[in-house]
Amino acid sequence: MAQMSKERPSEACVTRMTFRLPAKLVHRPLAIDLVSTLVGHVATADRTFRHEIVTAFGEAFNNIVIHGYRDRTDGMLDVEADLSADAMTLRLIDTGAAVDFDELDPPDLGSMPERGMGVYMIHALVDDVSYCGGQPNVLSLTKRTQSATPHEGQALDELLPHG
Amino acid sequence: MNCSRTDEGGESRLQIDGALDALTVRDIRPIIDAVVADRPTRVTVDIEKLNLIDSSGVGAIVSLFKRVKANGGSVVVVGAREQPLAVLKLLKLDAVFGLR
Repeated sequence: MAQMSKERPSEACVTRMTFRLPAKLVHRPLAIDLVSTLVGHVATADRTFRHEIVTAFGEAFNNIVIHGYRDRTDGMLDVEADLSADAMTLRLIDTGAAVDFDELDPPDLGSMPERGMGVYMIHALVDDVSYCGGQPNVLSLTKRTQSATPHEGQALDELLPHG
Repeated sequence: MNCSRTDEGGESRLQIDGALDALTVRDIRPIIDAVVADRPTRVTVDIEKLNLIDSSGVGAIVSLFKRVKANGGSVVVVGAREQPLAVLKLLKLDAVFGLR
């Protein structure tokens, strides 16, 4: 069930939308569609913004479903989306095993890896990534429309978090 | 996701439509395995009608690329646009796949 509310404004008016769905791959298209629809309410978002945050969300969804809920079929995923005119924050909240979204080794893109690219993509596509493992686990992805998109030509170690 | 295959001479063409992601990649793997087993000299992957790809889908295309190349063949990807093109560029695969 989806809910929408007005949060206390800081510098800009922020609208929070939440939805909850079973953490199963079969629900991936629905989750992607919902996030894509919400992007339409970020006034200054363009197509690149939409592609990037939807892609990052999809990778996060995959990791939670495939790794976090690896041995469970009853897992649920709660998504909170904070929307303003120039930014979007997605919080993915789950009760599966913690997935280390910060410490995974970056892929060697030159070797054309067939897996292990998801966390790299998340960090490359949004401006801020934070993860708090526990019960529940909370992954927060923030993307701003004014951000530069430094993907091409930027070194991997600039994109990935540092301990 | 829908994937259709056509063959002409020693060349195969795969047209992939819809979304190629963690949910649908299992459907394309048998098709890729069959293409590789036939040892084509050239494979063209047409993704003009692909509207969404994730790292799982990229992994499947990379697997095809590596295995066909190991057999002495070549793989090109054509028609990439929008989100799939952005993902392939991010992963530095646009040049490898012959995309402009």
